[in-house]
Amino acid sequence: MDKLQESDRPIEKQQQSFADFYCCYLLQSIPKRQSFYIGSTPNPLRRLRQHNGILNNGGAYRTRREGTRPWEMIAVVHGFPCKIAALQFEHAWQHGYSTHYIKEEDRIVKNKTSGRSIHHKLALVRLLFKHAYFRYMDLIIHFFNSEMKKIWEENKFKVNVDSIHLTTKISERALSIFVKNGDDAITLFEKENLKLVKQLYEHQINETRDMCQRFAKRLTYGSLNCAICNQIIDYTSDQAFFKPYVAFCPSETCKLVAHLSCLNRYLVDEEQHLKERLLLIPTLGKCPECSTPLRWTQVVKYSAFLMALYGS
Amino acid sequence: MDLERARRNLDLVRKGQPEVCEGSGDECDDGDINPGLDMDVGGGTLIPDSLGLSSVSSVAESQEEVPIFINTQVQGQLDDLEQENIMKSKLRQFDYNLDSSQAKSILKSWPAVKSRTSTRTKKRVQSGAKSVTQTNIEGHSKSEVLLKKLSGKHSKIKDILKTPQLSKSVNNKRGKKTPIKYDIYNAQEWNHIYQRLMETFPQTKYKEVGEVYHFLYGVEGTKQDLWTSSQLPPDDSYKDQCMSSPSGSPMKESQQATIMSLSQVMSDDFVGEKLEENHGQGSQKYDEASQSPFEHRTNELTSEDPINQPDEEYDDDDHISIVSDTTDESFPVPPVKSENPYKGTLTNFGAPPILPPPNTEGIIDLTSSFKAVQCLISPLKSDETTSIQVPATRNPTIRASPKIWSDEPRMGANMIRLKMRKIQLSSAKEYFSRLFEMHLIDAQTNVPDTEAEDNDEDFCVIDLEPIAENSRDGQEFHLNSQILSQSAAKMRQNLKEIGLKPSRSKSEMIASLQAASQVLDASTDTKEQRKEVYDLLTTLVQSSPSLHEKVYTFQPIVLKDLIKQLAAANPFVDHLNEPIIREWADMQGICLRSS
Repeated sequence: MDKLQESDRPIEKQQQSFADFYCCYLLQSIPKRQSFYIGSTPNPLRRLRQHNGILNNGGAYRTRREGTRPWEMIAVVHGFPCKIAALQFEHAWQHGYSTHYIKEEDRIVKNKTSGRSIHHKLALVRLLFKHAYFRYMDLIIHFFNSEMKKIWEENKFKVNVDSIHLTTKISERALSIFVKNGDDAITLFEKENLKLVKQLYEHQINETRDMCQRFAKRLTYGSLNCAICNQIIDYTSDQAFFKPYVAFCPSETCKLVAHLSCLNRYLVDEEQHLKERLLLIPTLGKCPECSTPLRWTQVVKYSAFLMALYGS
Repeated sequence: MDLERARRNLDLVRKGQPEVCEGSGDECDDGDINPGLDMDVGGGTLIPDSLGLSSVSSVAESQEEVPIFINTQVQGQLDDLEQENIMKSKLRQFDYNLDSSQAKSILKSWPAVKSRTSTRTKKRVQSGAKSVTQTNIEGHSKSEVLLKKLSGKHSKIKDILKTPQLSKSVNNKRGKKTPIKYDIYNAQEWNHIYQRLMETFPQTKYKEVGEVYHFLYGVEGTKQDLWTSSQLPPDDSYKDQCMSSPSGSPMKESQQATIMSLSQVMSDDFVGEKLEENHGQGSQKYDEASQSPFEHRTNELTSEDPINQPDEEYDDDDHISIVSDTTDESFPVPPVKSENPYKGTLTNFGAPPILPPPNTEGIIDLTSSFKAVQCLISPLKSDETTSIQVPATRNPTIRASPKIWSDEPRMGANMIRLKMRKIQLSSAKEYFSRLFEMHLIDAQTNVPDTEAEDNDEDFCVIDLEPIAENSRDGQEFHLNSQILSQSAAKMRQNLKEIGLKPSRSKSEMIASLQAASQVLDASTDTKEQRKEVYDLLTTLVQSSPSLHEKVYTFQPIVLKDLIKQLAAANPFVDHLNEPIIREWADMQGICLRSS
């Protein structure tokens, strides 16, 4: 499976600045349900296998404690535009009592030893989603366990987050409460969880690959004109001048091609007008061509991939 | 100070020329306009040579001062030797032509004045020349000449222009001294005045003085005084001549001629003392001038009995001379000493622009004429002026007129340049006086003579400088004093609230607070200033495409590099505390990394 995944990665030449799938995840010990672990990884499937001891290489010190394995990955937060952002989120999630991403008056975890319940863990995610920095990233929290999603929706700490910036998803046929009925049950549950993680991961990878291929095909047509400034974009050219960051609309029917800088200016101008403050990165916005809602991080993601593959 | 001076001058003038005061009751009443009246008198000759420029300041007191200004401008343009020679020859002719013995005597007296002025400053000399031209015009005030002027064409106009120039030059060369009837101040007094001016306006420059002149000219030029004075002869003899002229028409002609000379002077940079002399040529100019506000003014003045008010006429002459000076502004600056007198003049003149023109009648006429003219050409109608968009000033404040002048040296910052008719100048001043300092830059010296027909109105270029800026500077000074007066603890708190780097030494704190005061709006509180800091940083990123691209593609940026780049764009960033930049980066979604 690992080999498959590695070989399936759509872009070998991916650049570090915009990895395909950086995520933070929350593990819950299957046998010891009050134990949790927060981590981050570009490959949650591999990382989960490391945690569970299926893969021997790779560190998993904390999750190797006796009586805690195997672990269930109950949720991942993904959508980070870069590794740094994922690590920042991970650290903040782990240190909800001290992170600067959560205002002091909002903190639900007051010190290092408290806040060990699943309610606290999930509330911290809400609090982090609330912060301006992470709102730029259109983060998604994906649940593999419907029971956990219920807890999430319960929102015990009443953390109010603008729903625009709160995307919640759940895997199909997600697991529910673990009922211990024999040793096989744990293994089965672990396998089911792994399957769900793999499903999500592969789906994300494939989606990214497909989109990149689609856009790359359009770039092979030769010179294109930016829909905003009408200047020539030509990724078939040898000159870097014609190969800047280029933005496509994720909609399959939309023909939008534009400089990433042009699209940024276009969206930022609109949003600045709306919010009446200066911005550098748009958060909401619609495709100027087809009015499809654009997620800037997605646009940038594909743009960065294309640049890494064909540009410069 | 200006007002006092002007009043004193007026009093002196009244003593010297009671008749004039009676004739132009309005002018006498208004101290502001007084300078013009004073100008009529030859008192300027008394002014010490060293104070050549100061004579201008004394304009209020003596007529000569104003004419001197005109002369300087003319001379600047007349630098060419050839022109001077021509002018000399023409001047001689004029002298012969003078009909009335009085006029001759006037001429003699004027040249004497010119000689003085020449030694002092070019401007003065020119002013003297103007007075001569007026006398010549009076002598030549013949219906025939006027008709020629009216019917004349470009060539004629040019001739007219040349003649005045020539006359001016001749006058200068002659170095005749005009009789000083109203000498109010002796050399010591002038020195004192000059010193006072220097004290009050230590930074005033020659150019500023010239601007003041323009300012005055614009205000008064629109009004009757200038024109009436121009029409009337400088001396009593002149008055007599005017009186002698039975028909109003000749008077008008003479007025027109004078007007023409003024307009031409404006356009050509040469104030035609001789323009007046060349009534025939002047007539054409007058046609053009009729469109110009000045002509209207003159007409009004004439209606008021300019003859009866010789002093006023003199004042007008002075104003005209001022106009010429305005043209000369572009010319090299007179000696340092002259600068000081100019300053003095500035102070003296400061009062007149503020106060309304003395002749109410003339004002009314002028307004009507203005409106008509404005509809045709003026870019700024008096009505529209209110709607004109003024650069946003953070702290609009009204300043006293003298202060405005003192501020003039600061020209060039946020100025709005307007081209407008001189006629409109006065009305525009009223509108702008509160928001702007007005600097008269150019009296349209560049307009060729041939164009004079087309461009009836004399344009002048005005720089509007928002007074608010000055006020803001004042605020900065105030702020600086505030900063210095703060306790160290308070400073530290301010540093923290604004987001500046903390520092232990007071001098460092002061330095960074002062740096902040230059970038941030001092009038707002520290919270607002924090926001301004954020906006400043954001705009800095926006202005750097490469950095901006890194930001919106979420490429992690090393904080130190980011600060370095931002500081390169704006050194103020160096004063900012690092956590503040981090906070701003978080707010803007900038992905930072420590290394």
